[in-house]
Amino acid sequence: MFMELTPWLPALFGLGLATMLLILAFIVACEKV
Amino acid sequence: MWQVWLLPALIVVVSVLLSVPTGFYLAWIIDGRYKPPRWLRLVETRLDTGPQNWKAYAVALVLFNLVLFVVGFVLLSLQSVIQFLNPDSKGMLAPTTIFNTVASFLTNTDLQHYSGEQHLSYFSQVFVIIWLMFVSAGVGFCALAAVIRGLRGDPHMGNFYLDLWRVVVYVFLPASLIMGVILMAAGVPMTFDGAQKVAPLEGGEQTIARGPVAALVPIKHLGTNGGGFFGANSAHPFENPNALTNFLTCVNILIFPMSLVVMFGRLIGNIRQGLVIYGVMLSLFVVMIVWGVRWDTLAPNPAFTGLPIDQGLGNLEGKEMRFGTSAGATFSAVTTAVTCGSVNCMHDSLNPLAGLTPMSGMWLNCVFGGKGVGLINLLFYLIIGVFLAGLMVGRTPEYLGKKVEAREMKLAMLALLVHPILVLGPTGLFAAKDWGNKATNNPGAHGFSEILYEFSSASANNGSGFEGLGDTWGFASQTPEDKSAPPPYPYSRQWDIATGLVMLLGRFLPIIAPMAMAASLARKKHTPFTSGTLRTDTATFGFVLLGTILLIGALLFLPAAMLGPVAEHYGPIPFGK
Repeated sequence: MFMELTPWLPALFGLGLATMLLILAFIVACEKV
Repeated sequence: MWQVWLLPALIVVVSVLLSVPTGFYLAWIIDGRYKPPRWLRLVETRLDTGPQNWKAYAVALVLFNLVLFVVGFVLLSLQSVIQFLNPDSKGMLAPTTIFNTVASFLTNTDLQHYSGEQHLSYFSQVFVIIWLMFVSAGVGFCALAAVIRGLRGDPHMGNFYLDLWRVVVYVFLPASLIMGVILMAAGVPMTFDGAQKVAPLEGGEQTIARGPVAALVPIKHLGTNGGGFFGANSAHPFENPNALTNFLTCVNILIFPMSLVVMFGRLIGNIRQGLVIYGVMLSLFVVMIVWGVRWDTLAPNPAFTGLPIDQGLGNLEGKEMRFGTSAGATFSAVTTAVTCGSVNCMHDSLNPLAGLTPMSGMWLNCVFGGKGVGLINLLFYLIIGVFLAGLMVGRTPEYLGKKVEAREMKLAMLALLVHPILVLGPTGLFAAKDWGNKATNNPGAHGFSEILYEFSSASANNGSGFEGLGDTWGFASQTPEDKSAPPPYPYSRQWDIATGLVMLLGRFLPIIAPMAMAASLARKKHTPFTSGTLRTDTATFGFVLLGTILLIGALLFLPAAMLGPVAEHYGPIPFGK
């Protein structure tokens, strides 16, 4: 079961990380406002 | 009939009275005036990485949450592998359920696209859910502390790690322990034994779920988290056994969000400023409760019109009669005003106009609001109010002696617009596609309300569900091909991912922009108070603030309200035909 789900798990894990990194970038954007 | 007002009145009065000393205590803690025992001071010394400016504070906050996301995601992914505290052998969760659950509890939302007793092991409940409930509540609190320090002109915003430690250890832990003992005395279970099989009188076998419930319930409410140990949340007798625990639950939900306004006044050294904000929030809150009770407890269920049913006690569909007839409507106002999300009745069953109460609480998102973030939300309404009032009377807009200029307005508007964009955009998308239309249990306006509510709850980091939506996948083994288990809802993946993203963005963007705004104000020179200064500590300004909130709230969300609850109220019965 775990192996069958491997494509989904890292994709969603990456999606979460990417969103958090986007939020980090928002800090920089706010500084530039 | 007057009896229906007894419970809401008691809840409001007791919470208001308790919020004053609690607010003073919070100010004492957050200002570092509490001197802990030596061993705790050692921990504080290790955690204190020094004063942080707003950027360092915000980066620490986001990075800490990023680590929580990674840990939470890994632990939930390994649920079927970790046999420790898994007496009922819970299997692996579906990947999108994992993503949604981690995003949900990380952001203090606690939207649940799973049912706790069915899908989570005790290990997951304790080391993912309860742990995140403590720290996510602390994070919101820290954000507010940083904003307040900026507003009062401190040279730095404090230290995130030290603030988080103080809030969790000196505030949430002792309060949760006391409340946990009270709940256990009332009959809430606290055990690591697996579900119990019993033989009911009618024969057969019944499985009774239980677990470390008393450890979860206090922080669920004190931290305005809201995620239940059981799927039925606070309507379940093991989470909320009787009318007394229901009353205490409501006070628990309200106490810290109310106290934070008192803390605000205390920390900025001007209690009148806090009083104006408190008055505005309290007025809105009372209106929300009165509206909910008026249209639900004092109104019949229109779907039963013409049927031989006595509706003298109002709309009783979806209510727990253990708590009293007005307890459901009151709880729905309490839990959504402060973005808790715990429920003791089914919001889907509220009369259409009563359904506006929880929705408007989430739309405004500043009627005391979530732990810390509610007051932050109100502060950007306040900055906008100051700016508008300043323009109207021809005075330079100032707040707390600092000029409000273009940069602060841009940041306030940025923070303000994130919420409606995250609510209305995805609602429109899902309502236009099968993802939404085929996931709702009801047609027409009520179905639209189910979609609108879900995204409102996700973006406001509330977490309550209107319910009626097919948004659960659950265990990974529950594939459509697997006929031995209930199949997942066809569009649960879309709901899991969309609401997960909305929760993450809806949590952090409206925290970061006000921090930048507060830091920007902190850098400005203090302007002396003159007869030309627009006063923000008067009842007149309170009305300006109230008007600003209502006007902006109505402009943003009234059209959506018309398509949902209002259309349903005036529409034909059965709804949507």
